[in-house]
Amino acid sequence: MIYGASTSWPRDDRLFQSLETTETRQAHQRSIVLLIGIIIGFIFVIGKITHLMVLHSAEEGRHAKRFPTTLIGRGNILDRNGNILATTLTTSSAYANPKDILNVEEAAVKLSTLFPNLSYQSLFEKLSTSKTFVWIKRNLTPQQQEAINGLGLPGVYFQREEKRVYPYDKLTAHVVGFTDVDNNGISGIEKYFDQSLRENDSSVHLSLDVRVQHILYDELANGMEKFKAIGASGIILDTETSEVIAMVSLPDFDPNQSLKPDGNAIFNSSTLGIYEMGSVFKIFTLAMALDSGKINLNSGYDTSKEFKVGKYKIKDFYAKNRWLSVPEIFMYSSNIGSVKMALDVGPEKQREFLEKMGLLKPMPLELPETGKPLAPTRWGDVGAATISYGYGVAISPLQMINGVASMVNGGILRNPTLILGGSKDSPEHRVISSNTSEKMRRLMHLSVKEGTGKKGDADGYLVGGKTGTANKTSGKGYVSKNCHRALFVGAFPMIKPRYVILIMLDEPKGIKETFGFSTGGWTSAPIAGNIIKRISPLVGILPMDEKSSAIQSVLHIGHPKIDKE
Amino acid sequence: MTSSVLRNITALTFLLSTFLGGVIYHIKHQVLDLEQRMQGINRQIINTNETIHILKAEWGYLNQPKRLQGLNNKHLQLRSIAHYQVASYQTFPTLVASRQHKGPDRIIVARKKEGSIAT
Repeated sequence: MIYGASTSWPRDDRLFQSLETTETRQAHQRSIVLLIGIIIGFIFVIGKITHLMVLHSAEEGRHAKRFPTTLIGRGNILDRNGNILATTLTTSSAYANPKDILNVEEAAVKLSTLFPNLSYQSLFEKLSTSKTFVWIKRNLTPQQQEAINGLGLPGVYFQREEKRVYPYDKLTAHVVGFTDVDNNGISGIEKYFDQSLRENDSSVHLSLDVRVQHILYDELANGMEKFKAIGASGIILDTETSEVIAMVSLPDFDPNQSLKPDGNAIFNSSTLGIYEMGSVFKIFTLAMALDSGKINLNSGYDTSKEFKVGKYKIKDFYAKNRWLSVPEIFMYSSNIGSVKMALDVGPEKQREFLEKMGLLKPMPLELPETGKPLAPTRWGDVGAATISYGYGVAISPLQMINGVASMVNGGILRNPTLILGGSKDSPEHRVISSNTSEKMRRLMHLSVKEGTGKKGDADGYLVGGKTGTANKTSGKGYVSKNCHRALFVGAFPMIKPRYVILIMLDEPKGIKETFGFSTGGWTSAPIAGNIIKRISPLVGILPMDEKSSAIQSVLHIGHPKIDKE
Repeated sequence: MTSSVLRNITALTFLLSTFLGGVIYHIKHQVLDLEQRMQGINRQIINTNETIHILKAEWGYLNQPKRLQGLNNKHLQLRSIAHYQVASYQTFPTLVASRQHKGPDRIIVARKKEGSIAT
């Protein structure tokens, strides 16, 4: 130690003192700066803590929201009452890594006893491969998953998968459509709203009512079986909003089956199919003629002889062979009378009218499957004549029934919609005067009460309608007599129609009960009548006394026989 | 500034920082704990939501009108309501009053109409 403390060393006190004071001062200054720095730091930290915990404690909620509370992928499709028509369920699928399996034989035996449709042989082969991944069974039920877990097999694992499920099976197959295995919509609403369904929590609310849909389906399927028809379609539409309440097309398919349905079953005959409508088209002819002012309800036409237009002879199916008044022409469905009426109005005006009705262009609808109507390019007298009773223009059943809705609702045409509430900005326009519409209501009621549509009646519910029987085309000509479509279009209750209904049977055959007849009045009309009887109490339509003077004053229509030579 | 004051401040700062350190440590652990609980609860919510979702689909499946109709045909044999079985509230008193017999129905309805209490 050279500089020991005890060493007496000459000290220059002055120098030491001055050194001490400057050093102390500097240390003081430094520590004060540091202190201020620390204090500022603490104030900042305290401020921040206060900010987080007192002033902005509500932000906690935002933080919590970052966590998803659901993992369901594709949105639901609901009916108008919130019933789930399509939803996505997460399921588990069992797979195995054969390399991890200790005893292949034991595993194969256990799994094959659990799933009788998986054979021991195929399982054994699967599990003995050199792969590292083989499916055992996909989309298990929770019970099955638990059972596999219970086996305690090493090397068997589960994978989470999503599966589109349609709880109502076939009931709404054509409207809702279906998806492929990767949950991409490939038909119906599933396809049309594919994009918005993918975005989470965006359900599609349809205007369909499953209860009404079922009644329509039930009666239509029964009718189809009874009359040995090869196909059928039925539509119920709200007259005021043009919302589709029910829509069925048969034959159909089960969207829960992963197999791709065949073309015939997947074809939506209600919207995609276009057909010549036959006599039900006379509703439009009559409304057009009445609205043009060329005829009134007291007018009449001579239907005693066949009528020639060009090279065509027009005959009546239910021939009366005399002069018929306008109401009689409608109730007996006279072709001759309709043709004469249409020719009085003229082909040009007829074309204008059908264009205004939107029957000459595809109809806007929330389905990818909509048919493009067919109309003649040359629209002369011959065209006008055949179109007047429903031949020469082919439209989809939905277009037909939507047109009828505008005939009975006071004359306003709207676009049909499958979405609850419809599209608010959807255009609507007047096609006939409310006065003509009122006459049409009376005429349609007459046709059901006393004309060809008697079997479509449902006592108390004031049904109105029109029957039709349209021959089917094959190649260039019309095929034999027993090959036709039978139609009924109706509305109820006629004093202020709430719903319009269309029933179409493809190639119905006459039976003993109908005395061999297979026309619209004998086959489709009774189906419609049954449906109206069943759904009216359900949707809150009260039965009324049809003979009461109040109802008669609204719906009565005279149809005097005209005595002319 | 005397050195004793400085010493006091240093001690105070030291104490404060130790205290705050302790508090922050405590809070941090509380937060971790809460976050863990939240994750657990969120997992539960997801599971419950999925269960509800499955139950809703199952409810729809069990309520298939076709199935209900089949059950009705098997066990109840109820038929659709006929038009003569339906009456509105408005027409009800007149329906009862218009009956031929002079049963108690008629009297009660008539008295209720007048607003007096039936005795």
